[in-house]
Amino acid sequence: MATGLPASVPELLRARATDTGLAQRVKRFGLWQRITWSEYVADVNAMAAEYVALGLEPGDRVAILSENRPEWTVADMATQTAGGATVGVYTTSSPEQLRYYLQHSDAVGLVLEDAEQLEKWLAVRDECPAVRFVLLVEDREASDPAVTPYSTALESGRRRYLSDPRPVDERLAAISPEDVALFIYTSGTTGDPKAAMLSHANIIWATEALRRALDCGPGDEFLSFLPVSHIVERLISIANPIRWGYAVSFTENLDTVLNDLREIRPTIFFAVPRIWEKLYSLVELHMKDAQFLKRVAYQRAMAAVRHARSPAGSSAGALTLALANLAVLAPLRNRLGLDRVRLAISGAAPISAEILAYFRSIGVDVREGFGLTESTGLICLCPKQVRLGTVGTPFWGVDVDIAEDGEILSRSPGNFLGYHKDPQSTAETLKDGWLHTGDIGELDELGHLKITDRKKDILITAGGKNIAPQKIENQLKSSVYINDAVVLGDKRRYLVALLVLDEDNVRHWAADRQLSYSTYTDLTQNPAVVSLIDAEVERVNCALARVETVKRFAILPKRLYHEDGEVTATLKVKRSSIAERYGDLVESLYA
Amino acid sequence: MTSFGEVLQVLVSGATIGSVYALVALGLVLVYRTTRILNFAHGDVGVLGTFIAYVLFTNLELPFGLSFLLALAAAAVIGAVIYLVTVRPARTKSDLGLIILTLGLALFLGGFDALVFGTDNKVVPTLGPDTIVRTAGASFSVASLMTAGFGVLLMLGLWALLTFTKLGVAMRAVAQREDVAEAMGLPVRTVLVATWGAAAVLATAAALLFAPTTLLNPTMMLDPLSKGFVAAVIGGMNSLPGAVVGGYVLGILELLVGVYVSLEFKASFAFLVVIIVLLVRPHGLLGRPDVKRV
Amino acid sequence: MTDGVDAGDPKPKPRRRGRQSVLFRDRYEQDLQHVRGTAGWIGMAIAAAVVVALPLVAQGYVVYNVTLFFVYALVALSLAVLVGMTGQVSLGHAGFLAAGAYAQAALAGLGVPYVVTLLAAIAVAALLGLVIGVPALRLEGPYLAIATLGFGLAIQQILNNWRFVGASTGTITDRPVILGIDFYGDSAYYWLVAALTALVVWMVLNLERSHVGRAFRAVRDADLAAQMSGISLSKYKSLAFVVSAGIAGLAGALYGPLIGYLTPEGFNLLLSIKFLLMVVVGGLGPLPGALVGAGFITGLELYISTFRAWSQLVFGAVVMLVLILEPTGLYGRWLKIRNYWKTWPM
Repeated sequence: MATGLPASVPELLRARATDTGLAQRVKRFGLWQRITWSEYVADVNAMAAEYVALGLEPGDRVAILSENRPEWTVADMATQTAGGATVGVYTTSSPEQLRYYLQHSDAVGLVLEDAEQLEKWLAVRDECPAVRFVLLVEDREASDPAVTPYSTALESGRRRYLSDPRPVDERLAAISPEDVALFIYTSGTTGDPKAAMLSHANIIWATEALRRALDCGPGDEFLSFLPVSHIVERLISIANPIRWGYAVSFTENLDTVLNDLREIRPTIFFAVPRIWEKLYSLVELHMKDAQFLKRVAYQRAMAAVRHARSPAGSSAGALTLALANLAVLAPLRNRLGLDRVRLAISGAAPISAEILAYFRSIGVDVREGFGLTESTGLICLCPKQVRLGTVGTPFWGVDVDIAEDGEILSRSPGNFLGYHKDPQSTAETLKDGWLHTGDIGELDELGHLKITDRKKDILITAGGKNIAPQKIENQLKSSVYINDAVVLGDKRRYLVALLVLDEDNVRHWAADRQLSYSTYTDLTQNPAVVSLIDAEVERVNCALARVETVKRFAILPKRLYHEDGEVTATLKVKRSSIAERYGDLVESLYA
Repeated sequence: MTSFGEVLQVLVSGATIGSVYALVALGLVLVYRTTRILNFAHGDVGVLGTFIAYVLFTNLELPFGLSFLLALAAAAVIGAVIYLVTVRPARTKSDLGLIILTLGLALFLGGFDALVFGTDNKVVPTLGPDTIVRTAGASFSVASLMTAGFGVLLMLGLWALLTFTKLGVAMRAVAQREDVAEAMGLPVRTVLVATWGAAAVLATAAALLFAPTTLLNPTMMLDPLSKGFVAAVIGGMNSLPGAVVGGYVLGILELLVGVYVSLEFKASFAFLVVIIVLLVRPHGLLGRPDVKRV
Repeated sequence: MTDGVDAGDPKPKPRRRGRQSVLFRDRYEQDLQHVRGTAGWIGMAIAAAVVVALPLVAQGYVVYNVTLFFVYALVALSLAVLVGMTGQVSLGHAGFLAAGAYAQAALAGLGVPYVVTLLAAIAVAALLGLVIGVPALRLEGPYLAIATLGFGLAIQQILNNWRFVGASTGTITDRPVILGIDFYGDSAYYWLVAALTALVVWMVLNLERSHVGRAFRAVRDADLAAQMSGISLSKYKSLAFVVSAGIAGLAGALYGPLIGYLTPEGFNLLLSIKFLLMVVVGGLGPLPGALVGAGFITGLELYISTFRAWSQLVFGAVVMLVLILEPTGLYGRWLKIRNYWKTWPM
């Protein structure tokens, strides 16, 4: 299979050294600044030269602690060019987590974004003697004698590479497809993070598979805002553009995503369910508050879509639908910045069918994907004809099988090399070339994969019923007032839910009703809010089988933070940690 | 050499016109203090009140004194209504927007007067007989003395209102800090209505006292209004005593200039005074600057 | 296998077009453009064509009144610079207009070439602006309003007593001859005024976007903070007066030959008030507001003059109505409407 494929992404990047086309845009001081491929390559070469001079040996690790930005991509590609492997660290990590990553990966270098991240490093640097060099990107914000400004390193590297490119070029030429390119920490919802090692070949295969599924290429636009420490975001915003030559734009910061979306109007849009839910509730709430004409127009358009999609749809209905699309839905997509989206993908966590149906109805076909870090992010993706409730068919080169206990198995060129320093886990996960995903699912008659739950999340109630909590949780989360839900009930008589409010929307709702409250905690305990959520839970219960209904619930009195270990960096709730932390609360629901 | 009589003559005549200026300025300051509005419709409100007195006196043949008092009462209502139908509902909240609003109101009222009462000059009787009194080499008419006296009476009345009545105290409170006054439970709306009513009464009194000197027509108050503004500014836009002082000072100075310098210069003299005063004290003689925060 | 695409070299996809609902900036110069996009330029060209072609199709009184509108628009624009941009109020702008008009007329009477008289008119008015602007530095709010009101009245008073310019009887003004071309006809003079107005509009729009314009607005919005940021209050406040007076002076110089006869009474307080009405009714702040206001007030005056006795009452009522209903003025209302559709449906 590997025959005829390029050896590595750094090598492909090098091939663009004379390409003056647009590689990246970055928003700085309100302006989109352009970076061409040749500038990108020159920076990577320079940084790689500096790494080599700083003592980076082939196979060494460099950790990057930064938001998405061109410097991230340069630091990453330079590490790989110099024969090393990159460790992406989520910016929400605590100093303690940073220490763990650095020690566990034996990183020799660290790239920090700004003063905030610098502080984390300063707190743990005595415990990380292996780190030989530390670069700071935003060097105007802070400085420390032990830290080199990124720009200084880049300049020095430029001179080194100009005077003698050989050290870098030799390293590049020596890369073998089987070498480790990336360390991806699977934040996992349980236990200590494990470092999945991905090879250059894994990544090259992934770009190939993505191309066959997405038909991406020059002219496509992508907006990068999810953390590139995540494998899929890394693929789509770093490796894939290098391979297929499309432009990537980096947002100014996370608060400006919506605005940047409108300006860039990407053709490929990848988001986690949380973002899709946010977009959905944004539109819904905005339209609730909109002026009369806008509100009515939106309601009529949505009604027209529902009618046209229903079995009773007629040719008159089709005409109304066309009109609704022209007058309301197309402008709406434009206002969201989704009007050019050819490929809208949701991944990294299961998304509720209601959200998918909503975006379909406004004309954005969101395709859900399924994959694991251990499979280089890719296993399945919905084809253009989305079958709601499934995650689609396998990517090119992927074989999917279902084990006897229902666990999904996958075999592909993307299966990882193994966990760093953890042969036991590797052996448990990778058996005879089959990756054990830990998810329970089934294949339907057309070969579409359907995921029912995480293997270890399945609940068995006191009544002996097997219940997949994720499905219920997703339905709860589709309420605009509920951000997160954890459904519990293993060995219990009935199910209960711990809920996290959607703060913006509930605050807004409370303001409309002139409810007074002091803190967030106070808000969660407001009787009116509780009854609002009660109504939402009841609505969800109506659509569930009797054993699946949520009998009682509690609203968590605080927001969930990555730093507190309650959610993963991609904002997935860690069920076990929540259940443990709020044990008393759960007990009270069974009292 | 000027004799004592001449000086006395100038002083009394100046005080007569000065009391008109002072009354106009008092009304302007009263409104400005509470609502931050330079009320350019002030003169036209006075003219409307005077027209009412004129109609009561000429067409309904009521006694002049009664007509005068009824007109003042009517003016109070007019002032209150103006506040309630224009200033209060206005979505314009900027100082300039509100100034323009009163300019629009002035044009409206002027147009209304012209339409209803005509633009011809009408004779309004004086407050007292035209008998001339001579003392110490000076001569004045009883009427002008009564004008000055009535003006003083009204000012004392206003002072008593503000000092001794609950409404007056509330008016002062609102003038100082409207938001705090509201938070303390004062009926701010009522206070503002009362303020505009009181200002309209002052305007009408001023116009009625001034009318005999010129003749009654819709544009009669143009000059006293601008002099009233000058008086208010000289005294300080947020100081009631300042308005009184400014009015009398301006009246007397103006007369002195008319007599001893040049009549032609008299009209623009007021503005020379204002510029000189403001150069020295940018917030008027008795005014206090607003404290500004960044 | 998913939707089979051959993994050959990808071909460039045509960028799907569509409206860009927000400005995509990759250069700061984009913020400085007055006209954006093809549609903007087409609109501009149509507007220019209409302005140029008007005298060819319209009747004389229309041409005359549109010329008058241009002159008023200039004054309104000058007030927009002073009031809208720096927040200093002027109730005496008729004074600057008079200064420009009389300076032009007096010099033209002495046989000075027209272009020189225009420049002199601007200079005289600007100088007066400086004379007023410097003492005005210490004044704010009502004090400034009354002081400028006094200035307007004083100018009128001086002209009334100045025999050289005809005192209260006034002075006759002539349409100009430039380089042998005469502008006697209403149409010819219209084109001259239109061209100069367009020039000034363009200059003021540029001024607004320059560092001076930003300093003006800083002075308006937070004078103390502006001062602490190194913006000289005295410099920019008096500069605003000078610029504003200069533009009003130019308007005056164009105004005289248009109406043919100048009297001090023609520059009364009511005219100053009318100019202020224009900027506020049009919409204080954005410059187009001044032009809209000038158009609206000029048109309204013309229209209601047919109401005879009712005209003043209706005029006052309309002005009040605009301010009671729409604090941002007519142009502000237009911006709201435009924004409503720009943000359709959310």
